[in-house]
Amino acid sequence: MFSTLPRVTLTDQAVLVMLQISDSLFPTGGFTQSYGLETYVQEGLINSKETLRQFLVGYLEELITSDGLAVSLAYRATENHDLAAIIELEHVVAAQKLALESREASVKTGRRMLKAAIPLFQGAVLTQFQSLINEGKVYGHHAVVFGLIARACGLGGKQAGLAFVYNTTAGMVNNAVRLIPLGQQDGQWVLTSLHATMVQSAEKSQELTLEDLGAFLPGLEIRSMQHEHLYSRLFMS
Amino acid sequence: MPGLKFSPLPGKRGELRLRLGLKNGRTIIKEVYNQVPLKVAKPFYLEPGSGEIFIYQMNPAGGMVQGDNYYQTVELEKGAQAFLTTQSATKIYRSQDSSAGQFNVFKVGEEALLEYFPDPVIPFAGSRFVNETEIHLAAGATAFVAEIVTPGRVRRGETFKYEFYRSKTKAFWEGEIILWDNWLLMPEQKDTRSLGGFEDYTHQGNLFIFSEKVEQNLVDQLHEKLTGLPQVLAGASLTVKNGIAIRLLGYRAVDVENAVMIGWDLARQELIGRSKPRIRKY
Repeated sequence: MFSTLPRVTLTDQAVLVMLQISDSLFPTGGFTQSYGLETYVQEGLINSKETLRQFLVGYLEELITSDGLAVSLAYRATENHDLAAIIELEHVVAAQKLALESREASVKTGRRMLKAAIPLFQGAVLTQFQSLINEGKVYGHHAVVFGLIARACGLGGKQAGLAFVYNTTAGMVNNAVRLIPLGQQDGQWVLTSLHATMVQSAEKSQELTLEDLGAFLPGLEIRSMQHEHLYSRLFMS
Repeated sequence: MPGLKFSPLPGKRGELRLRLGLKNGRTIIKEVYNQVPLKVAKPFYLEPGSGEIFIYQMNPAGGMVQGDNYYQTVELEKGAQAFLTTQSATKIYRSQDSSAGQFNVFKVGEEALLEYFPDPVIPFAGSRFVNETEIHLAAGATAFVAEIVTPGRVRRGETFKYEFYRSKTKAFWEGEIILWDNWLLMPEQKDTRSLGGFEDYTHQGNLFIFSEKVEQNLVDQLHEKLTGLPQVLAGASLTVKNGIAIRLLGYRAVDVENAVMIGWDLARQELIGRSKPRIRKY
């Protein structure tokens, strides 16, 4: 059973927390992970702001049922003090990420995020979750940790989803800008052009259940698998 | 899944339950129950040394229409070895009110071997199909489970014209979830061929390999062999526990099937010390 939680009110302070945890400044090590994007850039399939945007539209659609849904489910489980649900979710997320590097990236990022968050934010749920990791009962996937922190800090469910979707998309854009390379302004154009898609992505996850968890971007999944064997690489995934 | 409405009209309910076990070193059918249209042909033995049973699942109806639901449960007792396949491609006809579904449960006992290689699925224009598979593995078990999906009747110009295709595969190792592959394709509502999706490919295949003996070295070998095939896009990776997932994209069923066979053969040699048998179809 998780300990008590703050009331959800989108106070100015909660807005600041939302900005802080979705900022690339927050030390999660996300800048070392490309989740398969690097393979696409090396193959020349993503080589411009337009192709990057096309790729991210598909990526955001996939987030609805994959990590975006995991954030929402972790948020709801935390809200309901349902420890069993969060443990089950962690195992399904691990079983669902078929590409080794993307799975490891998710765990690495999630654990770092939790480690950074514990001394910063109030909330016994965070230390409780850390104990579950230490006991080997959960992995500490990024999306799950994100949902947990968001609820522990009193963000709303949709805000948690938006913050995650933004954080993930901005991370991808940031990495693509370095990989392709693109100008910073192009990166910002891509992000802005995806606002409506991001809102939709975050909204749709809210209505789904664990049985909906899944993903199907076979092209990206194969590129994530192939990334293990890239000869020269900047990113860990 | 969002946006799906099921109105379960009565259709054919096919059922097949098999219990396979060892007798004098050979795997035999110890118990069979079937309800037409699902039934099995007389089993045979291709590898005299191993005693592995080869079973063809027959579907005389020729394809699945809306309301058809097939339930298949195959239990392999300790040490049993079985190869299961279908007689021909699974055709899914156009649906108007409900959908067609196939539900498979495999129980792979200790030290048992399951090899499940159904023919490709051909979802016709306007068809709706749900394909769910559960694999329960015990200590020492090995399983190879394949799935090949075509975009439709390609020769008739039917490419991604089906309404939906949903595939859900769950594997459990002594009760613990070790693989969860769940996807829904609705080509009319969502661009299936986007960057990151099918891209310009049309056919898709998976081969899931389960064994306590899988390791990175086998993944590296699979990667090298499969990415060397010019007709397919291939990836292989270790899953969270006791498994390797191979994902394939291609332009023709035969190319994807060929890649599945190559991956199967390589992994089979590595994990059970035997090359793939020569099966009539392949």
